[in-house]
Amino acid sequence: MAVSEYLLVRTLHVLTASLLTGGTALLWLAFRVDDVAVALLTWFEGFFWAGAGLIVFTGLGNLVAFGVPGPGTTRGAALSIKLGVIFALVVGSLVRTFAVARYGRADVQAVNEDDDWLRQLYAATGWGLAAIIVLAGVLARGL
Amino acid sequence: MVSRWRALEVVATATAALAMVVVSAVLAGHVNGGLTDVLLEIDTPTAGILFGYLWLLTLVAAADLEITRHEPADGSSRGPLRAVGWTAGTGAGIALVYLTVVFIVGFVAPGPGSIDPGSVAVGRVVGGGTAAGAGIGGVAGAILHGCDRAAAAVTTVESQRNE
Repeated sequence: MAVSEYLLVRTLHVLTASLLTGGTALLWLAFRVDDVAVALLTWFEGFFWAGAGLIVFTGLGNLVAFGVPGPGTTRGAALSIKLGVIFALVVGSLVRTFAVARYGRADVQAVNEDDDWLRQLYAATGWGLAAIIVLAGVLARGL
Repeated sequence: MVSRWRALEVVATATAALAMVVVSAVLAGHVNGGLTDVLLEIDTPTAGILFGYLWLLTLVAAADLEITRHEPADGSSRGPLRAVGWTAGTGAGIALVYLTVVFIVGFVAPGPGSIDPGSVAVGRVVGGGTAAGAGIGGVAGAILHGCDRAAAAVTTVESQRNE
């Protein structure tokens, strides 16, 4: 029973992380190609925050499953850095979501290349998520 | 009828506040060395209910909160200090309701982590938790307000409208 519980938690964690990283990278690329519909950005932002809540919860389950390393070890340092990166990612993502909501309220239909900041926020989110995935690898198996 | 932009802001605000609190608590527990004891004490379904209930409370609280500043129709936009005071009060309210309900459930169905049901011990934890909730709410409010100001600075609404 305990094995299947942890397997479910791990699967949800990895799937959600993959979907968030892939979705962010896709939108970043979309900004380079053409205007991006605000409706699409809004859907992604809603999905992003639902996924963020799920990933935080399943992350706690993963800590139980893999064990919490001591703060003085390499894996412990990876956990501290990972938590710091997650905090920064959450704050940066709030700016991104509030920016999308502002466009929606202003009846903007699509965001074009004039908004370089929004494109960079999606890029930063993608790189932040990639850094978290690398740190998760170190946390699970060491260097 | 709530607009989808408002719904998005509420979900983002609540989830971000919850994530910041949980991540900070885990980091503090990790650095101080008490994280393992806390995590191993709670099984997955119970942890899911505790986390889900806290998420629900923050969603309800965020729905009543106006952190983001829009073109105010009646000029009633909150200043930063008032907004932070408002979130501090909300944080205290969430902590008070959450701890009270969790303790009541804990007394009805005691688990290994339950505390002594004496009124002084419970009162101390609830009082301390409520004060901590106010502090956390104030900090979260300042961060949320900063994020809203940053979003206002980076958006190019007029330029996008003219396309």
